[in-house]
Amino acid sequence: MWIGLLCWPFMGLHSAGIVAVGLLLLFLSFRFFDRKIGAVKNIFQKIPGRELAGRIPRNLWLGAVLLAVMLLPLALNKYYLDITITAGIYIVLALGLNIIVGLAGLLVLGYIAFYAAGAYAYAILSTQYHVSFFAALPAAAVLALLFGLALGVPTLRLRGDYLAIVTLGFGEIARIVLNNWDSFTGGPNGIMHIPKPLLFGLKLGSPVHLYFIVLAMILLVSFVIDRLNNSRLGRALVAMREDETAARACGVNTVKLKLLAFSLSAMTAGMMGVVFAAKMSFVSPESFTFWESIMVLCMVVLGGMASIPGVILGAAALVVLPEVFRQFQNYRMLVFGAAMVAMMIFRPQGLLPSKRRRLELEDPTLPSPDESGEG
Amino acid sequence: MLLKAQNITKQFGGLRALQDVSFDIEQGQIFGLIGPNGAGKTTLFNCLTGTYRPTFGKFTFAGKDITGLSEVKAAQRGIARTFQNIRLFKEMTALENVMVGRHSRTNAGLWGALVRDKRTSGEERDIHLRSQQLLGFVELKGSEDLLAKNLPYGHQRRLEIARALATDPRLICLDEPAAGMNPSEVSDLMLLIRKIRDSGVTVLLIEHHMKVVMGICDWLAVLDGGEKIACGPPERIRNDPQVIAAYLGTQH
Repeated sequence: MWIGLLCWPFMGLHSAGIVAVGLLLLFLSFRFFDRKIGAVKNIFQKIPGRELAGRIPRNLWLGAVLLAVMLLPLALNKYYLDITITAGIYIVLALGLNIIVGLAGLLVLGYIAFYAAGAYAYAILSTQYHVSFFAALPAAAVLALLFGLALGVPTLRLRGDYLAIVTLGFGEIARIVLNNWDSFTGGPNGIMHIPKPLLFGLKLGSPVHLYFIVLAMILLVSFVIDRLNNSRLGRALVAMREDETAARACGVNTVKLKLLAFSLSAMTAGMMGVVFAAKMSFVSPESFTFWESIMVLCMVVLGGMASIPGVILGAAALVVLPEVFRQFQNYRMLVFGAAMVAMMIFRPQGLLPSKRRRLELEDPTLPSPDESGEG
Repeated sequence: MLLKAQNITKQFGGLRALQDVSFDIEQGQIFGLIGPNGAGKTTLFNCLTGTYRPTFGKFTFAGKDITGLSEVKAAQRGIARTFQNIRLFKEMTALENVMVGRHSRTNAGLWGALVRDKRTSGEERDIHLRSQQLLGFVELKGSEDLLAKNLPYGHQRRLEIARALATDPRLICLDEPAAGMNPSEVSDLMLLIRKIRDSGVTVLLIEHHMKVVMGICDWLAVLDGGEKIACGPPERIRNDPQVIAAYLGTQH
């Protein structure tokens, strides 16, 4: 309804009314179908052996997805391939941010600074010192890690809003430095003519090559996060997110863990910065605004915190959908905002929530506290 | 003697929360710490477990000075605690909560997590096994996969105790474990605390519930206004005029 009101100023009374009524209908039908889907799910859950059937094909399923993704470049023209690569870069960024926001529960708003550090590291190293792409990757990772520690150490005691504000400031400082340090970063003009990746004298400049580099990064980062999540350290990270005091009382060294989360997150962003610089062959401060940090954060929240498939879906959706709806450019931001609001109201756990969260918010088979009885 | 507290004093600005408190806890005791609200019981707990650093005084634990150690170090030395207002990892399952408790007794790092070598997976299996055992010990078998926040209140209390026990403590500090429990839960809790003691863990207990305190404690210390006003076996404390005055007020 109020979205209709929002549309009023630029659509006129008549069409705004139509939008409002349409959204109302959509809303009602959504509620209706939601109930239906819930019923279907209930039936589905009663089928015996679902657990078993659900477990075996997981690898098969992953394999099939991977194969499809491998073959994807064949089916795409240059424009779509470009969007896919951009989506891939954001997927890795979102996965990296997910470590710190989703797992460790620290709200960081200046994430893009690490990305910028990586991008500028490659830009400067390659144009001035002729360092190759694959040598710049670890160098940028180390640089971003140092930045991560530089931000992590002073903010160790901060939580929630305070941490958000400090990291926001950090992100802005990074951008302003890039914008003003003309002699080193080229100022607002940025750095041009960044070379494409080279491997054993083979030029990996085409979009297809980049596609596979990005894909490899997605797989690597997903693997690391998945392994981390199901380990002693992963449990400790989530415990820290849930209750820092209690985690410390259990012997969890929260200082080390926070720094670990910061550095892993920053390294991921740093490496992606290198890929980004190689893809664009041009970097400027404009690519690293606060807005980018927010977008990556939205991807994590939209997809489902701490869930790898969720974050991948969220990032892909937020890159691809605006491209698809390019003809409605004027309303893109409006729809984007409305979609985020709707998400937070109807599905606060994200599109594909992590296992723990799903258990908590969705599973109707969960016994309510008073049913489970003693011991 | 397991724990010796000497002249513990804690000052918050102008406020003296603890003043020269001394007591000894013997190995294998259930030691009760009682006193009216605001007497400084939880402050003493926080000083002991490393949340606060005492302004003055000394804690000796198993022959070593542990004054001012961090919470993490205290846990490693073998002091575990529960909290007055339950602090579970709400979005984690009951089993995972206990598994986090094993953190200080295990050491798989990032590399182990990524490579998942033999040692890491063996350790992971041990954590799992031990945590299952502990859930059985506090009679929460069958609730392994429930999220902590979905457990009934009494179970949450017991889960917190299981998590504390998972750190392999020599001394477990329970901060008002019976608060908010119904009578049958209270008697279960008393059984559990005895069972913990019988398994070789010394218990330090803050509690208001007199049935619990008088029923299971071997020794009591009474705090009032940050000072220790009495110390001794329950029968003696029950009839101590100073204690009665602190709880009921003096006659005029």
